[in-house]
Amino acid sequence: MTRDQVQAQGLVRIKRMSFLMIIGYAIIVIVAVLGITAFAVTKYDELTKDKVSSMTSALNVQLKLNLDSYMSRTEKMATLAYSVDNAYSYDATDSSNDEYDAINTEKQIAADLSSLCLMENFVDYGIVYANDHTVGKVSNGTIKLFGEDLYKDLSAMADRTRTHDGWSTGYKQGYDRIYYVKRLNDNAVFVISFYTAELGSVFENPEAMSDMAVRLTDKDHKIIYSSVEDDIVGTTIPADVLSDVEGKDMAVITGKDNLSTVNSTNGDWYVICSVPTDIILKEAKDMRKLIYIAAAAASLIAVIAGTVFIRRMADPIGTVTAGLSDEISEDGFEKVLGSRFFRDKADSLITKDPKREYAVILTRLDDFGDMLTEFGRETVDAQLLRMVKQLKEAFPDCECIGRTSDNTFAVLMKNGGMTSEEFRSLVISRGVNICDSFRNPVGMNAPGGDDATSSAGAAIGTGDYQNIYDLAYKALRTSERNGKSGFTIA
Amino acid sequence: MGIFRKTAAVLCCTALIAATGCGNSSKVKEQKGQVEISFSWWGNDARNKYTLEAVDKFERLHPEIKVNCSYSEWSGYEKRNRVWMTSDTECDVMQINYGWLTDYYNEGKGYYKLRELSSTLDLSGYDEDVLRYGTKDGILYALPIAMNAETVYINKTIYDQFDAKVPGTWDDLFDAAEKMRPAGIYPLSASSKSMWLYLIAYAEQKQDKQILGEDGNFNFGAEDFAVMIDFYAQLIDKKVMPLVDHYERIRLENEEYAGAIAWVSDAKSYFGTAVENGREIVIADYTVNVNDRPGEGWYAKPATMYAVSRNTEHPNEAGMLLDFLVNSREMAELQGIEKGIPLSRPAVEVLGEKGQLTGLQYDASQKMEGCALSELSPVLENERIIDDFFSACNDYIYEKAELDEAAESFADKLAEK
Repeated sequence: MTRDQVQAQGLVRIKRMSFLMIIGYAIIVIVAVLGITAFAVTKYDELTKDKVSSMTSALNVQLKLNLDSYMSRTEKMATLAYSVDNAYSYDATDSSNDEYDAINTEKQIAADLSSLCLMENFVDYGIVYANDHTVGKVSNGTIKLFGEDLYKDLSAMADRTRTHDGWSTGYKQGYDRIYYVKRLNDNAVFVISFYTAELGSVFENPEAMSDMAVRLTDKDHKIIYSSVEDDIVGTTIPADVLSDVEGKDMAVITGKDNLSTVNSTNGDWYVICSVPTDIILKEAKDMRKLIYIAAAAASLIAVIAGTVFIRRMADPIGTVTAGLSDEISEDGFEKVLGSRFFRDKADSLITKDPKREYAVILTRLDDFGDMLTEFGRETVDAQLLRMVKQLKEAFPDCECIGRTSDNTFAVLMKNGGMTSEEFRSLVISRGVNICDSFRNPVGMNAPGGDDATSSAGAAIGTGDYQNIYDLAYKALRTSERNGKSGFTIA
Repeated sequence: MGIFRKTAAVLCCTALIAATGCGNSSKVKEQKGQVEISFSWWGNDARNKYTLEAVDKFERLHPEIKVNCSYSEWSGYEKRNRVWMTSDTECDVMQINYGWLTDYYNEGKGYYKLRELSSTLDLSGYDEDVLRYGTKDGILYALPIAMNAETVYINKTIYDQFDAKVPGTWDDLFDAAEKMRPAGIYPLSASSKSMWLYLIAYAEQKQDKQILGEDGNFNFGAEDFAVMIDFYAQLIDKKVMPLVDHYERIRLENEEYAGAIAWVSDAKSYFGTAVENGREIVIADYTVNVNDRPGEGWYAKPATMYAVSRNTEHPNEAGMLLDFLVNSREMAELQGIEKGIPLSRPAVEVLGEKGQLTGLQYDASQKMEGCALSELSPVLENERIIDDFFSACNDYIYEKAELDEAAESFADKLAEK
């Protein structure tokens, strides 16, 4: 392999390497960005879930405290009934009661109780006696609901032994009211009830958590209160939430469909907050889109920047290499190859097309040494330049022109389709012509006359450059031996 | 190299801005503000439930408004209202009793002037002669919801069982009691206010004079109240009606009472179950003596009214809620004729479309409109007067005082007020 082929291959390799570097860099950047992005997105999802779960957990605890506070206040309102004269000592079941006194006593108790609950949205605030007689505000709704079991079933609701009281709802599937019952004496209980709708102020949802469903359920997870419009009190909470919270008293559950928190209150009621995972991750999904778009943009920028950098780094090498190549291949004249490059190129062309006739024409400036000594480099170079110019004019269709020594130029000419004779005639014609056209005055006293002359020799052959060249050289030498300014073809 | 450096510089700057600049900028997210107004009413279970539902619908229609509700049964509500009104803590929108317009008028400082809410409250559905019930000194302070009157509801199914005649006269009641007494059934029943007004009707017919004079002051004296007390004692003694202190509405559903004196607006809550159970409930004539004109001694009034607090900080929102309560389709559908036939034309039109202008309550309204009833003065609804009257009655019934003593005692208390 010739040197310029090696060099050309080197250039190709540099370009290929440069391309591979760009592709490789792009792949590394994209993979890295995608990896980091995927990691970031996953982490963001987890963080979002964690954040929402801690928020819902905190809110759940707050709602539980609100409910506890509301219920505690209701219990205190019931305790206040003890401040009413006769409220806990009067027994309406006592058959020995004087009817007139009983009417006035009950009227007074009712009036006093009414004052205590004056500002409350209580449905019931009164006393129920063992004979189902009522004093105070005991609504028709309650009387109708409990019927003949008014006292018996209300008494059963006071199931806390320490304070002789208790909370209940869902009596005969009536989940629209919540009852608080406190035993006053062996024959009387005090009852307070309110609509579950009142809990709206207890379970008020912050605007930021408006997508969260807040539910209060009994021990069977039947809804006592719900912030969800479509929920029906008394029905069991939705199955997807139920499966997450069932059997748990105090927990944060990241379920398949919901993020739920549960807190038990009042013994066996539950405050359950749940947010669909889709809603939690809705923002995360939007954020994920943005992250991916940003990542794609960053990748694109990085790839473009990398490409620019690599090309800017690769170009100087290529430029330097190409410059060196040019400097090596051209020998002081434009498009005139150096000796080695002419040989390599001519050899390459002839080898590639071994059956084609090629002609090598050599022409040499006569009396070169004497001219150099006599007229100096400048004059000689002018003559050489003139020779190159005339060669280019004489052989416009040649394959290449080379400078094989200080004063010798070679032309490689291809038979483009002529017969051998025609080609030979053409070569002779041009060889003679180049010698004749070069013979002209140089404006100096050249040795041997005023004319600067050149001799030329040519050979035609196929397949072997060196052989053709050698024959052409012999022909040149023959021309020189036969006198100056002559042309010989081998 | 120029481009190289510039590109690098731009990228570095972008990265720096992204890493530092954006993260530190402060953000302000506006929260949705809600105007909070309050709304109070009294009523039974059914009214509480549909009113809460209506408020919920209103809040959905106007998410910028939150309505805090305050409600209770009638018992004790008057006192609650008095506390609110005297402590300037009354609700922005209030259901008020007809009498309260006078009680809290306070020379025009009691309630908001409703015509000033014309931007949010549409009064075009009201006839001017209806609006006069809520007008004082030419200024509209309250919107009447429907007209109301005490009505005689009779469970004809029970009456028929005992071959008793649907009462039209006082004597008819005693005849029915005679037949039902062995079964422990009272032909009629009434809570204290209804009984008080029922006794007034009797006494006005008997004494041939009205309880109030044209000046609005009591025209009845001790001897007139003695008639009322004595007649009440007879009703109790002959088991025509139970003592008001022993009155329990559930016994109406248990059919221990075969009838009731109750407001037109009470028809459904009192007899809804009986109607559902297939009982025939009829509206009896206003009870009179044989020769009296129909409806003599009986009174009608606006059932209840809506008013706006004079102290409201959100009059427009209060006006919007009030407009919703009297004119909206939603409220009309939910309320139906629970408070009587609405006086607002848009509400009546909705009820007409829905075919809700039927049933016992509608019949009671028709009966009321068919008689020329006197306008009930708010004074006659004063709970303290009523309580004092029945205390005097009890003194007489339980032999703690003679009839004239009891009547004098009550007359004296009345004079003190």
